[in-house]
Amino acid sequence: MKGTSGFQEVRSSTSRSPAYRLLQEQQHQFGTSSWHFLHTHDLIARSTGISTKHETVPDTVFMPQTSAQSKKRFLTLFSCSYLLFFVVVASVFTCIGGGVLFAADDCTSTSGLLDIKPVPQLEDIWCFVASANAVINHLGVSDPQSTSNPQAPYAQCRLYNIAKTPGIDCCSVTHPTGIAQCKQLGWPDDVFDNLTPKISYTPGGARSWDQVKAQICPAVGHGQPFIYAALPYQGIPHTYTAKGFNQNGPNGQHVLYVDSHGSLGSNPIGGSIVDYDCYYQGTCPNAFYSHVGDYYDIRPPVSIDTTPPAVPLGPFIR
Amino acid sequence: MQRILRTIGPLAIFFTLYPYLTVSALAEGTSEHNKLLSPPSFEVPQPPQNATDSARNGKQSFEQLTINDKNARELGFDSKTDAADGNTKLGIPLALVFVNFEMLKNYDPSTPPQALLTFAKRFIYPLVVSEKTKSSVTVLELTSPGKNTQEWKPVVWGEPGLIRPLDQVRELAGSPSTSFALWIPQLSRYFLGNINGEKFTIVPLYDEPALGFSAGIPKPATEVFRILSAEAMTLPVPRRRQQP
Repeated sequence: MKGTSGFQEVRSSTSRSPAYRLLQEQQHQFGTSSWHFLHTHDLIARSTGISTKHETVPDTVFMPQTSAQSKKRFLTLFSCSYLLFFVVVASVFTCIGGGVLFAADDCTSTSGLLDIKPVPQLEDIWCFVASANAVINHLGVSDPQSTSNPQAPYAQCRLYNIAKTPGIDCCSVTHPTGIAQCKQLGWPDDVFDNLTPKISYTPGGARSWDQVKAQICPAVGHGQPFIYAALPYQGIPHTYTAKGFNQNGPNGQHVLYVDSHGSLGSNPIGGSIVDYDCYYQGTCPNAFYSHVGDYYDIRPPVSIDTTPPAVPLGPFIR
Repeated sequence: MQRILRTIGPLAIFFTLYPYLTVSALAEGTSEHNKLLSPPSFEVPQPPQNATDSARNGKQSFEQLTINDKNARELGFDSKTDAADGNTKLGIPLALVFVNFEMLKNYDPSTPPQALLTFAKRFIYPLVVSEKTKSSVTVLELTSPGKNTQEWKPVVWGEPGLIRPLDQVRELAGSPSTSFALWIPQLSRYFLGNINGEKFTIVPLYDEPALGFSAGIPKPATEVFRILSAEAMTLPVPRRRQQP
């Protein structure tokens, strides 16, 4: 196991807890310094006349407070305490109830699975289209050009046309990848960026276990699948759609529920559960893949594009 | 006269024997060359006991990993309870062997096809329910620096659409101990491979009329590699992605 910072997070039970996550997320509100504790002491001292300040805190830190300031600080403190109380109660419920809070989304603190139908890739190198297709279907984005049904999902050839603008209609070809224009390599962002309106995403490295949970579990965070790419030895990258997680594997092994978009002819290979280390390390010791990167925080299109400019995954081949 | 004979004699003998000496030297060189090119011995890997133990471990946890009935069906079972340890049996494993893609692209039919093979250090174990192959568990050998013992870990569960045709075709071939799963990740393809002595055959898992492949009908490995080599050459060459 590679001793990367992301994976180390997984090993910390504290960092796994929803309370920790929420505290992390609310850190900008709480602040990282101890200023609010000083004010607690101040408030206690003012109301009781007894100083409870820690001896190591220099008295010079104490600032005379006006009544309005104290009231404001009291309200801030009260709201923070209330939030903290909520977090603690939520954590207890989650632990005791075996995921009561997440039950509606088939999501507990240790496992979760989004209801996403497997999408086999229909042509040899159209894995990037298949991954984008799986996510787009889940987001409920339909093809506006479909004349038969306005709610019709996008066909893979349509998404390929949008992504690569091949100069010909790859939907009108019986065996598209027999033609060079319909056999161009691509990435899911080619699809996301060229859809109108665009679908926003963030490119980056492999997700830590907490980040995986936050991506997939609606009650914890984003609640959407994410896409990752792996590069086989001597080959071209392949993309996968991750839609679930579970830390109840043999000996506490962590796993992901993955659509590899694989097929044998017209028959899909089907669903698979993949070891988390294999995903994270990419290479999966002695195997022949390396992790290329992920597309996460994928969001449905908005009419006004407020997404930051897409940053390419990095010095990867495409 | 004797002096002349003494001088010429060895020369005459040398020039008389020269062609024979040259030919035999060349022949020796060729046989050395042939030795280098002789089919490298590729023995179909057999799983050690701890690989099977690891697969059993993976099988035991399958029910727990199966979230609900719908998920169970995606993974190849009829229901979540179908995936229970008591209902499933481990089938005969298949070694996962991959093809060197660069060698495939530049395939020379005079090269022994076994030279293209590398064991991926994985075994795929079929999971059998009521005598039917439903799903699979794949185990991977982990490298432990400084340790001589092999450690195995279950790394993939499910993929029913792969294990079923593999198992079906292997049953038709009728030689489980010499069969293996042949994997060409770059072409997203799987086949059943079979090496019996010097005979190396490849069995397609599904029909591909354009390539002359019929499911379950074995073909000589040289022929399959020659056909796939042409396809490998048409694969687009990846470009480096531009720096931001």
